[in-house]
Amino acid sequence: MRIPLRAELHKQLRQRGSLFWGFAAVPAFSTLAALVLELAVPSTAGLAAAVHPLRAALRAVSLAGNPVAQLFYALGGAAFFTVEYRHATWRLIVPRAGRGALFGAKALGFCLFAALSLLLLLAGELAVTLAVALARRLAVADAPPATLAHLGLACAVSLAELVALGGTAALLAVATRSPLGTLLPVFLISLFAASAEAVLNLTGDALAAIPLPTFAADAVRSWIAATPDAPGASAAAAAVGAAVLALWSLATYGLAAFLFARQDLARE
Amino acid sequence: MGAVEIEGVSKRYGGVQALDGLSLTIPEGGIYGLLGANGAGKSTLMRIIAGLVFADAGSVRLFGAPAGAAGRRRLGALVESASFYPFLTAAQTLATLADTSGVAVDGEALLGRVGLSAAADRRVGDFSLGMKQRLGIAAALIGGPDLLLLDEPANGLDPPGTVELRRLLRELAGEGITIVFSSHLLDEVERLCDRAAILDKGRLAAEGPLAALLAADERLWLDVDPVDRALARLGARGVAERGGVSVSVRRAEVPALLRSLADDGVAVYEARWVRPGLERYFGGAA
Repeated sequence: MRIPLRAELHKQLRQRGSLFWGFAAVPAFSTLAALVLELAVPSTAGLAAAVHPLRAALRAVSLAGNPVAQLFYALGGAAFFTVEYRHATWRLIVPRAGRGALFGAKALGFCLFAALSLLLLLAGELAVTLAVALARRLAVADAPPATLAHLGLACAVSLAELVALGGTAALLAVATRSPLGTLLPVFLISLFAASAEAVLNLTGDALAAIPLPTFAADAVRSWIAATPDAPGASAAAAAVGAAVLALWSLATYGLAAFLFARQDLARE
Repeated sequence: MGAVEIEGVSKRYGGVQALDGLSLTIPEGGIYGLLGANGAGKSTLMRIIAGLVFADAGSVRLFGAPAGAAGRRRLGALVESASFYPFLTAAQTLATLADTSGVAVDGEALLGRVGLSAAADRRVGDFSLGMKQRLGIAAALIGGPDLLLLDEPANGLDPPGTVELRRLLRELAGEGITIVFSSHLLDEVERLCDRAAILDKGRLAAEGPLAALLAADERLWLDVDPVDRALARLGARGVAERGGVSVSVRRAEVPALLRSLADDGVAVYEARWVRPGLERYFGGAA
């Protein structure tokens, strides 16, 4: 089966508005916020003798789990997975390309855009931190090898969280055929998870007990950030979190592909 | 073996039976008409052939093989109104669709063929309905299909556009492409098709060479005065209809019939061929 990924990316790259709000807004606003904070509140780096770019980057990639960031990513997911329903264009591509290949291209395309968004998030944060160091003549602190490993893991878990969000968006897009019907539930799930986490004061292993992507990702992040002074989730809880993320993605993309393969496109 | 073989296909949408055990074989080559009033099941049949909608029962074969992703690679389709990504230009649209199907395309040549060369770099969102229909036909031609499904392709076209469409379809049929053309306008089909099927409430009402379908149904309607004297002359062949009379008569007999009416003192103000049987399927559009 040939996956028409290039055609999918070509098409999505021309949905510039949706593309910006869905995948570039979070990195752009995050970078801008970091810059404004450094300018307005010099204490962030001003009191320190050195900047810690990798630590800053670690903080930045965790932003992907923030409910406001997830609203933007949900917007991207809705635009990505509902464009054919919205413009009634399945009729142009389904007859010759086959449904499995088209859905595969969409899923892969979303994952690629999510990964690019995380890279931009990282690059923006690193650029601001290094610029601050340069402007204020601060030293750039060496990062222990563990921090680099932590950053890699944090990127992986943030990507997994966004991929899971994309799966939810894909499933809702096929089920509702509507951008709003896709966007709102994805955002509400994320908002509910963030509120529940705050209200119930869920930390450590308790996070892994709730099988939702936000909790699962936070459980893994908590394990990554754990230090002897501030213990986080256990390795077992992190493993459960990782498994929840993987299973959520498999289930949502799988179910969406199954439904799409059997869906009547009498009206897109 | 036909280009399309439809066997016992049924489809129901909620309480509406769109297709009801339809069986039909569309031969290879030429222009085949699918006729029927709105709601007769033409678009549902097109969507099932194109793989957009799944039949509740029955099967579809394309060029002898079960219709599937591989079989549909030989198919080009314009189903219902042409819809496009409004943020792409016409040239980008054809390039993207070709890339999606994994085939090469000479977009410039295709756009030239449907008269859209000048609009190649315009966003499709700014196109008129007629331009979208033309682009839809160009999109259906990507990859050089052996079978072309065109669902009401003349919708939105102005009269010169319709004439141009007819010319293009004849040209494509001349190249050996089988064209299945649906319309609710008998006149449109009459001008283009060699053979046709008439659908009525999801069933096959008639099928065969178009000339035979039309001839079997033809009656001569006459605006005459007085009607009763005309009916007396016509006997069992004539019936009073729409203020005049209609009569079953062969074309060759018409001059003699008109002379005999005139000899009986019946004034004939108008004579035209009508197809009451077909009109039943088209709601008076025939």
